[in-house]
Amino acid sequence: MARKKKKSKSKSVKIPVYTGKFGQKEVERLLWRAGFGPRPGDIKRYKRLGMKRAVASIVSPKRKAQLVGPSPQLEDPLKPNDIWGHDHIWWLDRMVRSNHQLEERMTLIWHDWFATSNDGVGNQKLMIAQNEMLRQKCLGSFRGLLYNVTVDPAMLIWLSGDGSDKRSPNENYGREMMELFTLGAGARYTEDDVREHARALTGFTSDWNEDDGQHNFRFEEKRHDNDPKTIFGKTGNFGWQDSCNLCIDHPDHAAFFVQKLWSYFVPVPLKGKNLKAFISLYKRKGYRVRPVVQAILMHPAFYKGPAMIKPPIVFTAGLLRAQNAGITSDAWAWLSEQTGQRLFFPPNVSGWDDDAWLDTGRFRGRWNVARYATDEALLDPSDNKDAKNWDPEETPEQAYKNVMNFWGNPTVNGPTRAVLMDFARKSGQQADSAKWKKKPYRVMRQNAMRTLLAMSPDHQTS
Amino acid sequence: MRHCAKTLTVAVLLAIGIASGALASGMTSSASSAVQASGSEFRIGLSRNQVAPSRLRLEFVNYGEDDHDLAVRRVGTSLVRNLGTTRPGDRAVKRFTVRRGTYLLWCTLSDHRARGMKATLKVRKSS
Repeated sequence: MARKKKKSKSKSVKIPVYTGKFGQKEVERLLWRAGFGPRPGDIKRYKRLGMKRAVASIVSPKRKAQLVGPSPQLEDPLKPNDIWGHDHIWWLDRMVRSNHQLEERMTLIWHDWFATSNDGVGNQKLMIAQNEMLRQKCLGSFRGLLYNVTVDPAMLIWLSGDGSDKRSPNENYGREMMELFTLGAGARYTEDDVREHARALTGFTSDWNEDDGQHNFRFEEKRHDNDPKTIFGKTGNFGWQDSCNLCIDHPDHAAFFVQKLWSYFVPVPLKGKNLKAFISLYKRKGYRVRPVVQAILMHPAFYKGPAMIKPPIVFTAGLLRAQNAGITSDAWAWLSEQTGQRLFFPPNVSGWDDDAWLDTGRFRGRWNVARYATDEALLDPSDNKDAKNWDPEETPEQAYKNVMNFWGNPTVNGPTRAVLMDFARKSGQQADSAKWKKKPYRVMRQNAMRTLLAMSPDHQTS
Repeated sequence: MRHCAKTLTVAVLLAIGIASGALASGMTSSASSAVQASGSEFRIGLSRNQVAPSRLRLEFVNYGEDDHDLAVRRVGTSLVRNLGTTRPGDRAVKRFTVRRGTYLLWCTLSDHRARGMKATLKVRKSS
């Protein structure tokens, strides 16, 4: 009887795997959601691999990560620790050029999950160090990641762990660890648990002097509250690692974790049998992130479900990747502010609000991003080089074909194509209204169509 | 209506096509260095506390809630450079040549220096 029960339990935890067509549309979705969009040639390459091998190559790449393509060319040499905006450029460059795309995407997810803002830290060096840590731990054990986040200097400053001692335990980190990082609002914990976690997390401190600034972040036993605490009904002389473990081992953690992670990849909630299956997988694999991500990327809902809005920074990096372009301006830092996603500055500890990605203000920022992204390749209508060789009889169809080639022939739906063709026709009529306009207006049409395609609904979503 | 559409088309073409706005794609110099000073109540933290003699790009970022400024003086000299008052969230940049020695940095506003807004930058050949 017991054996039978065990068998039926293992049956119920099987996670479905997508078996449908793995064509251009599916590859595009995979590359946009598990990375920052395709580079020229990527679609063909991943299509050839098939879904399972494509996902495996993304989740467990064989070689070490490399930055491929032109390195940033800026007014000042790239100094992520020392120049405002260079922190953002440094990471954006990795998003554009890294051949381990999932690693960068997961780092972005953890940056949002454990949202730490330099607004509160005030130290780019510590923010970069945190980012390196998140990247290093991005697909390993969530328990290990949480340990590292808990003692990370930027986080210690951001959520007031630094200086929290037995005489005045600070509740910030303990509260957010439960509410945002491991269990979720409404999970089974109380205000008493918050207070007791705060006591368990005491003992971190750092030094300050005018030569080195804030440095030497450490745990000091004498500052730690060594008296017994009661957390989630368990009593012991808990320390910071116990505090992390109690959250990870809490009965509400696994469901919170898989649902939250899933929500970064699939825009419909994870529930029912699927939820149970993912919880089981997560626990069975020792709370490791990689197997869960792999299962999400192979799930039918990933390919069949509705489109997701690309986060602004994903959209931005993708525009550069599509052209094999590098970074040639530090303007990307303030442009990203306009789009609502300046790296290292999430709006608060709960991260970015995905519902606001396409509001009117931020959408205008995307227009500017699309304009800047095509700037290096901008055709000059007054320049002999560009306008001289342009076909004065270029038809709307040819103009459309040219713009599709420019962006690597992405999937474009009928309505978007119709609007672009309409624009091409109308601007073609303008071009034909005088002989001198024929070439320069067609060159300008091409510039405009590049931006318009980038800003189309098809390109804002994946 | 037709006229409006034509005008709009031309406007889009002009806006996107002509306004090219060249991006700065610049030269890099090996004899340059950069330091970011982060100011808040009432501290100044430096991204590095030592640089080599060079053309220094000194940046001050105000992460605090009050106005602050940043003054710089090389020990043994009287020349004081000031990056100007910055509002919360703002930043200021100054470029100048630094020679071997010790540079003092501080906020000149009110009693901010006495309350801790000061830092030291060393300029050494070995850095």
